[in-house]
Amino acid sequence: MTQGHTLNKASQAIVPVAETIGITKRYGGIVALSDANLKILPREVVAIVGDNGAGKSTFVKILSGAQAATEGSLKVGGRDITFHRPSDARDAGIETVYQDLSLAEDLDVLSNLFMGREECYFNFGGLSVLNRPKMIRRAKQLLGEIGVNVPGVHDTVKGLSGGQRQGVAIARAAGWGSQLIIMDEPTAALGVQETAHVHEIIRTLQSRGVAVLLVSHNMKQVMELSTRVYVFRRGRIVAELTTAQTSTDEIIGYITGARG
Amino acid sequence: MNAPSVASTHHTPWQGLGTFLLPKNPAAVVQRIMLFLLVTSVIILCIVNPTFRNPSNLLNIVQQASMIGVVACGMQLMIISGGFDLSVGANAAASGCLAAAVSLSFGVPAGIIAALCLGTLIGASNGVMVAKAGINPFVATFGLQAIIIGALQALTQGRPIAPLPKEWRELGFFNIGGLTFSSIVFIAVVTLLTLMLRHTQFGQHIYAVGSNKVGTSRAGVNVDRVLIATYAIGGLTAAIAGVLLTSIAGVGSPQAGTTWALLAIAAVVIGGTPLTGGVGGISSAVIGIFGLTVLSNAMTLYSISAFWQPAFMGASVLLAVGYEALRRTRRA
Repeated sequence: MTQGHTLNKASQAIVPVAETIGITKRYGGIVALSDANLKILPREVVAIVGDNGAGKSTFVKILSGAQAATEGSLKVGGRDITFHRPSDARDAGIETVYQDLSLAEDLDVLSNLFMGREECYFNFGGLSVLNRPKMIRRAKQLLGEIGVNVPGVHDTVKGLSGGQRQGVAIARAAGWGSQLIIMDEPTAALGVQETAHVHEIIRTLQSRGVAVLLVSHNMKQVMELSTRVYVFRRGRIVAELTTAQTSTDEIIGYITGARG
Repeated sequence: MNAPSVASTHHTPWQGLGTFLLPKNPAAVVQRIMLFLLVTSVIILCIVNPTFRNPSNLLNIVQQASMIGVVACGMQLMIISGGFDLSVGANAAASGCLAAAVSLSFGVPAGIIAALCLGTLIGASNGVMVAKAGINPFVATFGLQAIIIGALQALTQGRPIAPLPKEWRELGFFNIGGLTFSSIVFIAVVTLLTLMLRHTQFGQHIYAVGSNKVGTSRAGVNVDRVLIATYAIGGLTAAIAGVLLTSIAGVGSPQAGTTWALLAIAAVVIGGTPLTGGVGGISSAVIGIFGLTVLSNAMTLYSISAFWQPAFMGASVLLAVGYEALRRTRRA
């Protein structure tokens, strides 16, 4: 109890990386999300859990700039902000790793890491000439720092394993000084060893000061990685729990409605 | 915890040669095989057939390959982006005729500029239909092709535009050491598009869009703009070919180009680029167009009926696509 108390006190002093206040989303007459208040502090891994249709996806879409909220406000680094498109969120330091990874499989690791942010010798619109040596140096440094094992930066993504692809997608999100990375089911399609590899990457990110918002159905993963858990049910946040003080049973209780 | 490592790949010259001869990518393997077949058949034909190795015949092959070669280079870009353009032949005919018509009153340079603008505009319209309206490339470009041909026939009454200013013939006969104007333009187009595709941000984005449109858009790339620009360049190359045709034929011909779109697509496919998008290079279009031209030249030299040519071309396309598809399915 004391531990939780200190944590709460500390969280009031630190400026959250991102904070949502009263976020509500209505599609016509249907309320998909109502009055969602959520806070992510630096270096935190915050998990959001809930059944299908509980409002997690809607919440993630709003935070990543893919959709606008009907009501409520969003603060990034303590400042009010409105996202009109995903690039707005990215400019504010919020990156998203989609469940399908959104990688161009025919292209090599290097091209994927720098997609849309290619380093060029000079800026001449689309005809800017690519500075490959600089990109290769940065890519190797980035992959090494985050701990993503790939055979080489010139290998096509098609030839990589699921874990390596996930690593490339995460490295792409992490490589641009982002403050918060949203990960949608990062290990749903992976085996045991590859899942462990991805967990290692997430911990490395955390130690580098990056916050992670983890959407997951995997309770073991939530318990292992997260610092706090928000439980969504029927478009509402029904519980905010500190992972160290809760249990899988308690979380599942909130998800199913047996509790709260 | 394992030490994270990114294997640094040191390429020795021999390894480089090995990767060139035996690439991992099935599509690239098809391209190497086609290049090998092309080079071997040219060497064999040079040895056994004195008419074939005659410099004027070899230059004639380059000349014949040049016009549709320019179209094939543009087609290559559109295929890498995940689409194609069936209207390139109609575009070339319309642009060639416009060049001829405008040159009657305003001179040849004005005619050429007008043609290149029309071609680019037609290409960009295809791009807008594909990117903004989400119309399937087959339907969009097939539809526009029909509109262009209809309008062109109606406006010209199906009659060629002639006689033209004599500058057209001078352009058609211009050559440097036997290398004609068309061949010089073809070499320039190949060089410029290769550099663009390999070394510019736009080139990189064409591959990305062809490989994963949604993912590329999520990464912050303006996918619509990439597609429209790609089809605009495709239209521009068609117009260049139309201008070349007018210079060679000395008339603006509304009947021209009916087979060009399929020839250009065939060249790209024979050169080892699958229609799935995201892979390939200008080298495919070049290998493919020379393969088709050498084949047709050899058939003429050995007095094989020209009626067989489409059959041989079809067989080459099926072999190239079949081999690539087989390798891909075996791997998967």
